[in-house]
Amino acid sequence: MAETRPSKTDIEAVFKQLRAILTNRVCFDCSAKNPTWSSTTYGVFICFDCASVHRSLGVHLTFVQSTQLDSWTWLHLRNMQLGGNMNAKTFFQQHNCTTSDAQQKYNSRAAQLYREKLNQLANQAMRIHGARVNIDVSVSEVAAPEEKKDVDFFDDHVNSAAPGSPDLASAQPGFFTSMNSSLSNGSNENTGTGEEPNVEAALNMTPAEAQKLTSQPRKSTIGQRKPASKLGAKKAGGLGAQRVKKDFGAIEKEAVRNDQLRQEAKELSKEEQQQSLQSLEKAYEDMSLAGKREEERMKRTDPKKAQQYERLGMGLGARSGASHSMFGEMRTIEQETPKSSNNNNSNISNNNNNTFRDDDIEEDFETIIRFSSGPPKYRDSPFEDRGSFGFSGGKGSGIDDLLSNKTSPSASFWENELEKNNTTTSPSGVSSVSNLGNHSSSKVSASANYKYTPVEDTLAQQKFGNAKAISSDMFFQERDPNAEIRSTLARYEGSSSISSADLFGGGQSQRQQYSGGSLQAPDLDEVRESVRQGVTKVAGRLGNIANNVMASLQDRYM
Amino acid sequence: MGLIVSRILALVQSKKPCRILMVGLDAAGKTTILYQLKLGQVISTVPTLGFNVETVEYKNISFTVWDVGGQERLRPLWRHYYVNTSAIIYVVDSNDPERLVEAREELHLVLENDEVQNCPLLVIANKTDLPMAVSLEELTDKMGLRHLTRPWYVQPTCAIKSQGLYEGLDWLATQLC
Repeated sequence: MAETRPSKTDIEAVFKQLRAILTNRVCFDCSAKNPTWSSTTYGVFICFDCASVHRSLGVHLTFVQSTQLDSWTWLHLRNMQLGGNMNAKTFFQQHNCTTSDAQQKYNSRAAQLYREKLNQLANQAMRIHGARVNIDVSVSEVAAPEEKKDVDFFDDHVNSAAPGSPDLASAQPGFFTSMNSSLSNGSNENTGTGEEPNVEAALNMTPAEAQKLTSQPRKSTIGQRKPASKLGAKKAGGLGAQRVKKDFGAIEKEAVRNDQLRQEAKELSKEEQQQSLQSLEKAYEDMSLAGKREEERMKRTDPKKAQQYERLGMGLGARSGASHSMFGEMRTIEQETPKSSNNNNSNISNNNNNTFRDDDIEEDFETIIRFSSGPPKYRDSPFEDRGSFGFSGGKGSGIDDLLSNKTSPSASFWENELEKNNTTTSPSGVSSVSNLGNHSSSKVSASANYKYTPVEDTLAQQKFGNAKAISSDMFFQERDPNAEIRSTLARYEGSSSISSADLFGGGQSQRQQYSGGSLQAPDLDEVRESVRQGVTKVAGRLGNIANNVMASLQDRYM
Repeated sequence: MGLIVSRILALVQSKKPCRILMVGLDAAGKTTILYQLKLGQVISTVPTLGFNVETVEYKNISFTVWDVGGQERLRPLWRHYYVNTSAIIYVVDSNDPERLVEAREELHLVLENDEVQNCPLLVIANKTDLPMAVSLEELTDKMGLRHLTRPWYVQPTCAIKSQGLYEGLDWLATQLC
């Protein structure tokens, strides 16, 4: 599998990201909360109970790993990043696989298709990114599929038929770029592909092309998106509603127009708003501004920057996650969260302004107005959970921390849990560390020790082709070109199991009785068959009698 | 005279307690095997996070079987169960060829320990009913059993159908008598 294994921190970082997505925080099968197990075959998060169900299906159908207790390979991590509960759910639904019976579900054609598709995607990602330990990689990687997913999701819901879905694998990168460009229309930071989301173009794209496209824009997406998200966040980030999408082009234009209005509105609204809101907004604004600046500067070069965005994104993504696919969520989270929050606030003010000033705008922002009417609503809504998850640190002094890339005080529940687990599972920290060290080193040595020559292997396989069980003794004796032993072995080929004792014969004093029996066996072979039944009967009776006697003796004397 | 003989027999035949450690990678089927031996039926198991222990009486031996969780992070805990172990049962998911290498490495890590230096090793190749199951000889090769100096035994089983389990215990019984 993967040549190098991701470090613990990498794994944690990846799962922290993935868990920021709402749909990944419920079990894929039973919707239980906070699943800590996963089926890497499908890249889905499942709960403890469903993990046991999955395990009973066999690894050829679903390979279960604990997100906390297992070691992960990069390939498996890619699976999780590219998969996700929402992707899988959508795919299963599209293929009319809605059964809740695990056997049927994971033996279905849809499951097989999704397995293969995800595997393919993961391998592709591995080829592109290798085992880069960088979180940035995973971020950008996640981001890319995220985008794809976004579009898919929209497609699914806008066109219920969702014809493009089977082509996801090849089309996704295309979606990604086109989506990007559409988002960035307002800011004129196009990747240069299409101005509008072009589903057909994306569908026609060859995987190779798509790959190229993705690999380039991937870096710039962060930068692109941020400016874009300012405008687009209102729609995509906050609402994610179909209505918005339909008006997409118009809204974007409006958004461009309203940019200036918005600035004014922000100031106005700030004054009007309560102080708490004000401070929040300012914080967000600072964040977004700083983020923008940083983006432009560090876009292509600095991985740290990406990390920062990632952190920001977590909060945002959580929010936007409601209507988006997991990947989409991740993305939006990064850049949009702060902005969307800004937007929300500013939306309120905007709306106020707009309603007074501009009727057209009002129409376009109808949905937004609904939203804006309730920042309180917002808090009551399911978004709140996500918001608090991502922003728990950010609302207080956390934003600075987030931006400065420290480990955020908002260290999520998950992280804590993980740490707890770390401490509890190992009997003592030091010893466990040393254990691990030994582990790896001894693994190396073990693998060195146990390299086998192919000749031996095939030999053994040929020799034991028919054996139902194989023991050490068989091997030792087999190596001798001894006809007698051969015959002994031949005798065992029919038997259901083979023991080392049989094979050793008298080899070990420990087993002298047994070996004696086995040595006789060749001689008795013919006799044995004829007498066998009688002997077993007699033996059985004798055994019974002996047992009875013993029991009674024990009762009496012991 | 008869009394003496019978007393000796009694000593020999009384249920001899044996402590057996059952380990293996996660999802190999350890817990299922344990309860198949204990209860004679398939129970739906959940991933073992600590351990399960049951006493199984078979023939004239009373096996106390310790079933320990097999997740990666739980494997360092195995060593705490080595003390006074009479035999090791190592369960392998033969339907998981990709992880045979991992299984081999873990097995040999276990076998390196001094506490289990003389313990016979019963390798249970579980899940032989599933489609991807590797053949017994391939498994024997890939598990690196040929280099072992201790007595070992590979028993193909299907725990949910209760196939092969008692054959494995038979061998253990002969080793431990």
